[in-house]
Amino acid sequence: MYKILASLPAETLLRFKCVCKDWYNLINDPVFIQLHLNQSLETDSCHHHHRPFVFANDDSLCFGDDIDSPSQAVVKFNWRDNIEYEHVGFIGSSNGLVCLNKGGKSFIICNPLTRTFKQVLFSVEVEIWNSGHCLGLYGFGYDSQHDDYKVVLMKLQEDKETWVYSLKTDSWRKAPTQYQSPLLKKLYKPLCGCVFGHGMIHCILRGVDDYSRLYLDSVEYTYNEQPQIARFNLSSEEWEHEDLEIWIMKEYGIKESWTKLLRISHNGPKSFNLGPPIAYSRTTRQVLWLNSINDGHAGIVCYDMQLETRKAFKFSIPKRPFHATVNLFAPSLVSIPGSSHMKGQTHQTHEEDNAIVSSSTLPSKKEKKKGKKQLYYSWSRTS
Amino acid sequence: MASSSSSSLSRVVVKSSDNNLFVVNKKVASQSQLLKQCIDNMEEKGTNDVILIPLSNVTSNILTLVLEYCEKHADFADDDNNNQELKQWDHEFLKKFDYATLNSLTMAADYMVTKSLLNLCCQFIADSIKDLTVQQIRQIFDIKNDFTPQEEADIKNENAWAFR
Repeated sequence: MYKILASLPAETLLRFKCVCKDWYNLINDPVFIQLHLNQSLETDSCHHHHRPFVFANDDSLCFGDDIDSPSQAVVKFNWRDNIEYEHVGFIGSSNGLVCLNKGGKSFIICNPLTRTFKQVLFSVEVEIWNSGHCLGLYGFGYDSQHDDYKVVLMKLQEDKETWVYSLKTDSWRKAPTQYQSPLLKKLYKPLCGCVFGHGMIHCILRGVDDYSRLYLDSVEYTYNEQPQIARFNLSSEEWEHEDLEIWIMKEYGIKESWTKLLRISHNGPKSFNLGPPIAYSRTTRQVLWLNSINDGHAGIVCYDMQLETRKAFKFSIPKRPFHATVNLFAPSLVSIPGSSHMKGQTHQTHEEDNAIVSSSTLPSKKEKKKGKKQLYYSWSRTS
Repeated sequence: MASSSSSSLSRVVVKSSDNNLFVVNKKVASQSQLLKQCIDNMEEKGTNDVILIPLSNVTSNILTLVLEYCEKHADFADDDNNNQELKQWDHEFLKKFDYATLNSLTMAADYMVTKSLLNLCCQFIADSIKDLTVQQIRQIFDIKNDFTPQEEADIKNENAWAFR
């Protein structure tokens, strides 16, 4: 029975909590939650059918069931707690937890599925330029060695301190050594944020005087909080920055395995306005992008490399669409210590508000957007 | 039955809890880690006699089904795991059974350490119950609701959106 329950989707388990006390205790048990997580990661990697997403801008946060049919059950949280405009960005997502950066002042760790969240102030403030580029590098990930979730903040200005936040102990620690890179002296901006994986933070940097060169630094902070830097730079002569290219490192840590996945000419017929890539699926050969936001809407683009088609999904989050951001996550029951529930009423929205329309090469999808239920929650703190 | 030229067994005999005997060839038996372990142990000792493995927890009915599964999967053992035909067969195989049988089959797969069958059964049951209501779950698994109405309402409230 234990194993059968572990094979159920996380959402179903929330419902089955009220079957009986035994089930309730089991579903809340951290050991079971971990087993369930492992089970779902295992099956997810084979299927990839179900791709929930989370989408945020500076005043709301939006969770959806599936990026391929995003009109189904979008849950939206109004999360603005003050008038001041704050840039919102994803720090990362791991094991069903999503971490967002609010204006460089605080961050939020939330589990979109269990509707729990925790807001923590940054130990140091990092300046964020109006253009949305900030002078800090952030990372969020799971430290399997200590069974802990960690947020890493690397300041790129002045003192260049590095701080590590541990969710388990709810505290910040200053890393004994700084992240040193010869690049930082003349750093223009980090090209991409950081990617957490293999217990390392990976930052992609670009030199000022050498635009054709991309640097990928791996910094290990998670385990011993000592930066161990490994360089897996991509410095191909073929790199043409006028065109849009996607490269992947096929074998982790092997510099030579950098392979060009995709190239779209900016001038060609296939050109479209894209933000940074979000995800790539090896099995379906699809690339997801954040779509740029010029008509007051943000969205995502799913590019199918085999068919060379693209699908666009729009999120009509009302107003203020600056710096919207989107990410995928794997639903889990992982609990956040010291978190509170996102409270709020649910009510249905008007049909025209319905978040997502599909456009571009697959107009037939438009038919499907009608009349799906949406839930609205407001973001409030109970503690 | 002993063969003097080779020390490897070609067949084993498996006994169900209701004392029926099943002759199983080695390749099929190897689908179960439990049986495989027994065979390996015997081979290490250099025994050439056909060995008898009693399974005190598995009835004939269920054992027949487990062996049917093992036989099919032994045929595909050299193929990669993503064989579509095999997946189709797995699905058709499980579709025939009621919950009670599936449950016994799951337990037998667990006991005989047939991991692929265990995963298959669990996923199959999970898929078939995931959209049921709490009430239906209690009926199927014969579970008594031991919450007070207030407790149940509280839990529902906490996860209200999951009940939409």
